[in-house]
This record gives sequence, structure tokens and C-alpha cells, in this order.
Amino acid sequence: MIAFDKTLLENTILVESAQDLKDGKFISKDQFQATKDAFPTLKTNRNLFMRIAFLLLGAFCYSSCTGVFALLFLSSGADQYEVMLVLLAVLGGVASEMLARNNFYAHGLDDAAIYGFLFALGSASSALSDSTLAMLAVMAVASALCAIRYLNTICVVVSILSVVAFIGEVTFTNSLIPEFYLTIVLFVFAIGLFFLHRNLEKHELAKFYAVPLQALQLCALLIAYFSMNYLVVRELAQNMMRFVVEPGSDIPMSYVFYFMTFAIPLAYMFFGIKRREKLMLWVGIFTMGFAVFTFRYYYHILPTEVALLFGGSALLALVLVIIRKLKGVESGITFEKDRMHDSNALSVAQAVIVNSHAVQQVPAGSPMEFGGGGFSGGGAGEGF
Amino acid sequence: MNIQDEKTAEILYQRGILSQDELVSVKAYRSLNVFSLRNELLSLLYVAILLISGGIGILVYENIDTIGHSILIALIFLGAAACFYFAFKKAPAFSWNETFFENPVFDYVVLFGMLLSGTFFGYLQYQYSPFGNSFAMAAILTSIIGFAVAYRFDNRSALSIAITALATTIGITMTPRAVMELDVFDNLPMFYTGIALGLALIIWGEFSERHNVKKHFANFFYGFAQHLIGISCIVGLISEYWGIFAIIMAAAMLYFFWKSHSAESTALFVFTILYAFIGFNIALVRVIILSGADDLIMLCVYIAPFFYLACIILFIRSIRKFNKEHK
Repeated sequence: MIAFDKTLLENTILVESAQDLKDGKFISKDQFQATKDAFPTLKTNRNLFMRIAFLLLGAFCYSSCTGVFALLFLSSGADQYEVMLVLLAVLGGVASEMLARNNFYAHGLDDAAIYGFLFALGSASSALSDSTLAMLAVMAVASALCAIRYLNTICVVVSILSVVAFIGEVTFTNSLIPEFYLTIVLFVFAIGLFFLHRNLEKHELAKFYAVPLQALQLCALLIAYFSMNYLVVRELAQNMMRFVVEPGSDIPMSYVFYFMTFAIPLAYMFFGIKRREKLMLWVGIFTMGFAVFTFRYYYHILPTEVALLFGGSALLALVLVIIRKLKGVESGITFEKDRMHDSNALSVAQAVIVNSHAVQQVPAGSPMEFGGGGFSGGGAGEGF
Repeated sequence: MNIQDEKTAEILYQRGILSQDELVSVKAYRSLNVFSLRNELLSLLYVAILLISGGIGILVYENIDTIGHSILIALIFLGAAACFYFAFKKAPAFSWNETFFENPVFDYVVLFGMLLSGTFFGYLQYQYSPFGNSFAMAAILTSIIGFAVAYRFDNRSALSIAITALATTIGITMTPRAVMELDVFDNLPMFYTGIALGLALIIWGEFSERHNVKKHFANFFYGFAQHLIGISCIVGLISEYWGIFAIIMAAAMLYFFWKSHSAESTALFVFTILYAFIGFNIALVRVIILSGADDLIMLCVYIAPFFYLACIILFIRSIRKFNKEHK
């Protein structure tokens, strides 16, 4: 099912992990070069900027093709709108396949072709069937197939989002699922995804799909949390189901949602550390932040500045205590640098973020596009 | 380290690229099962400091009429001074090369002191206007402190605050009203200022590199300069007097092209090509529109896909060449 040459793909993964070994200073630059010479790889861009640059170029090319098609099909007077979309989808599909055959993998150009294909296919199916459900179903299946065939990460996300949108559409427009059970259906769906990920991880081909599998896990964790988050559930109930929350009353089963809002992040953090999974830990930290936001959204017990000061101080104290405990530990959970994944990107990202924060404190502020360019400049200059 | 890395090491050993000792060291490291929470904890520390500094900012803003200003200002000043005092106590001896705190927590102490300094100058100016009517003085003082802190404690965040504050200073000094009313797009001198600051940053970077003055900051300056000049020029190219910006853009991108080769910086190279490409396209479209020939415009739409295909091929070639030259 994989579109790429197996040997080259295996070599690509080998060279990538050799790069990790080089970054961890386990092998020298010469040894890494020798590895690269010994194992020919697919054409791939490890540098994210490079990949985005090619994605943009590819997108320009694809959209200029769209322009030509539009001139050919729409100016003749006859309404051949659907034919045009189908032909565009075919063009995208052929381009994706050609690029894969020519060993373009995670290069940027192949991404452009795949996304172009999916976009045209979605538009075509929507125009032909005139039904959102059909369009979402086509998108879910097509992007899942693309994810499997071209090992594409974004396609995993698109596929899962299509399924979620499908479930939402079935609930709200077609009323096939009672609205009240939507959160539970999504939660069950997320658990399904989670176990799907657990099983796929053990598959023999899993090493090719490392990043797409992470995307799958990320989606599962996020959907599981947000389907149970009190804020999301309550706002959805009010907006979509015209549910009115009277003062003194609350949404049904509110205590369950309150519990989940805080319990899920804690569970993520706990299992993230226990199972040594960085992704789960990060999602746990992020969702914990959202849980605090949820709580403050409905209960203003403290004025913002006091909450910020206390929250910040408490976090500061907690972190300092943990750092003190973990400092100097040589194995297992530690505060010392990991030789393998010591990244400069973090300090650069912080330097970028601090700007948006600090500038507000200089009265009158700086003109936006003036400084705006500069911020990302900081990120770009050092990251790679 | 994941399983794949160990497998890779074994394959490399079989192929004779890795020696047995090296294979053993890889295996030994993997058996330690290191799970470093360093980045997570430092990020949380960073968030905590931003929260506290934001809280102080709001506190100042809300209580501007109730608590005595002088007390608040004095407290903020003391806070900043305390941060820098501890930082000085723990800082390694000053060097023109890259230095590190023994404990990375102090990078964040420095950052907190820097944020407080910014609040201090802003508040002081807002309340007592010791520098007359211009906020530029407050900004430039923040900037000066920022540069001093960045160079003394080797702190990138402080450097980035300093550069932004500097941009603020110049922007306001040149056209204060334009900034207040946010109509920068109609304001030509703004782009010139941006380009001038970019130029200054380039010179600064070159100086740092040649005279070994915190050499590792140089790429930071180039990055800032590139985006400043690139964006100023793109906005300039859309404006009425686009000819001059086309020339400046071309000259700047030629420089960055050369620089990216000598600095072996892929990021610099990619953004050079991207900015040059965008600038070239805008200029091309403007020339075509200027010619006013409808048939020519139609023809351009038809050949556009081939134009982009050619660009992609050129792009791939130039990057391959770049990678070959800088293995």
C-alpha cells in the first residue's frame, strides 16, 4: 500500500535516526556523511522552512493550473463546473502519484499535490452530490488512504476531523443521534482512536508511520478531552441545542463534566510521565491550562491580576521544587539534558514569544507589521 | 533515545561505520532510559514568569489612581534590581564568547528582571514624564538596558526585547502620529526606517562576527534584518514609488544570498529565495500591468503553470547546489 520504494524509505528512516545520533554526539560528522553516502534516501526535507517553501511553490503552481482550467471551462458559457473540479482532482492525484514514484517524500511539493488533490476531490464530491455528508465521507476515506499510501501526517488530522464533522452533521442536521449524546459519542470515538493507535504502534510497519501515528494519538487525546470539557459542552449546549442555563441551575450531569475537565489532564500528565510519552505530557500540560481557563470563565473568585500573581507564583514554586529534586539525576526522569533531543528551538521560541508580551509594556506599542517581521526573524535566524 | 536509534547504531556497526566502543556507548546510554523533563520544566517556569509579569502589569494599570505611584514604581524598580543582583551574583565571568549560567533557572531570573525594567520605564514615563512628551526615551532606555543585559548574561530573550524596543523608538521618533493612528501603510518614511534599521542590524551582525563580539548573536541580527527589510520592501513594492524598493530589495537579497553561503545558514538561504521570489513576482506583475496589454495578461495566465514549474525546478536546483557546497 505504501507508494514509495521500500529500501529507499528504510534508508531514509535510518539516515534520520543517524542524524539524531549525530546531534547527540554519538557519531561524528564524518561518520554521518559516510552513512549518507552508503544509504541513498528519498528526496525529503528535514528542514521545516524548506518544506513550507516548497509547499507554497507547489500551491502556487496548482492554483495557477486551477486558473487555466477555470478559463478553459467556465468562459465557454456552458456550465462545466463539476467537470473542471473532477479534472483538477485527477490532476492532483496524478501529481501525487508521480511525485511519490519519483521519490519525493515529505518534501513539500508532494504535500502540495496531496492537499490540492484532497481539496479538489472534496469540492468535486460536494458539487456532484450536493450533500455535506457525502462530501465528508469522501474526504474521510480519501485522506485516510492518502495518509496510508503517502505516509502523510496532515492527512491523518484531516481524516479524523472529517469523521468528527460527519458525526456533528449527523447529530445536528439529520438528528440521527440525539443531541445530548454527542459528547459521549465523540468520547467513545476518541477512545476507539486511542486503542487503534495502541494497536497500530505494535504493527511491523509502524516505524514508517512514526509521525502520522503521533498525529493520531494527539487527535485522540484532544478529542477525548474537549468532548468532556465543561466549557465546550456547556457552550455547545447553549448554542446548538438552544439549552438555557438558568441562574442556580446547571447543565445535566454537570458534575461529571467538571470532574473530567480536571481529571483528564491529570491523568494525561501522570501517564505521560509513567509511560515516558512526551506527547501525552505536553497535551496534559496544555489541557490543564485550558481546565483552569474553563473554571475561571464561570467563576471569578479572584480578580485577574491576583489570580495571575498567585497562579504564577504557585507554578513558579512548584517548578523550582521539582527542578531541585530532579537536578543531577543521571537516569530515568531527570532535569539534565537529554543528549538525543537537546533542541535550540525552545530558547528561540521563547525569545520570539517574549516580544509579543514585552512590547505591550512599552506604552504606545510598536507598529505591528514593523515589529511583526522581526519576531519571526528571531525564530528563523537561529533555529536551523 | 528510541528503539530506532539503537537499531540504526547496530546497522551502522555491521556496515563498519561505527566502532564497537561507539556501539556500546549508544547501548549504554539507551539503557539509562533518560526521560528529560528539562524543556517542559523550563517552559513552565517561563509561563510562570510571564503570568507574574502580566499580573504586575495589570496591577499597575488598575491601581494607577489608588496606591501611590511612587511606591509602585519603587517596588517594580526594587524587583528588577533584585533580579539583576542575583543574576550578577551567579553569573559566569563576562566573556565575548558564549557563556551559560550553571543553573538555567537564572536565565529566567534575568528575563523577569528585563520585563520588570520595561514596565518600570513605561510606568515612570506615563506618570511623571521625566523625558518630556516622548515615549521614545522610555523605549530607548528599555532597549539600552536590554542590550546591556543580553550581552552581559548572554540572554537571547533580552536581545529580542532590546531590538523590538529599538524599532519602537525609531518608529515613534520618525512619525509619532502615524503610529498612534496605525496608518503605517500610507506612510512611506516608515518603510525607509525599517530598511535603515535592518541595515544597522546587518552592520552590527557583521561587526559582531568580525571582531568576535558575542559572535553567536550575529545570526539573530541577520534574521531580524532579513525579515525587516523583506517585509518593508514587499509593502513598499505595493506602494506608489515601487521602483526604488525593487532596487533595494534586489540589493538586500543579493547580500543575504552571499551571507547565507558564507554563514552556511539554511534558514537565511530559504528566506532569501522566498522574499526574492515574492518581490520578483510583484515587480513582474506591476510591469505587466504597466504595459497595459490585455492580450499579454491573458497569455500570462495561460503560461503561469509552466512559469511556476520552471521556478520549482530552479528552486530545487539551487537548494541542491547549496547543500552540496555546505555538507
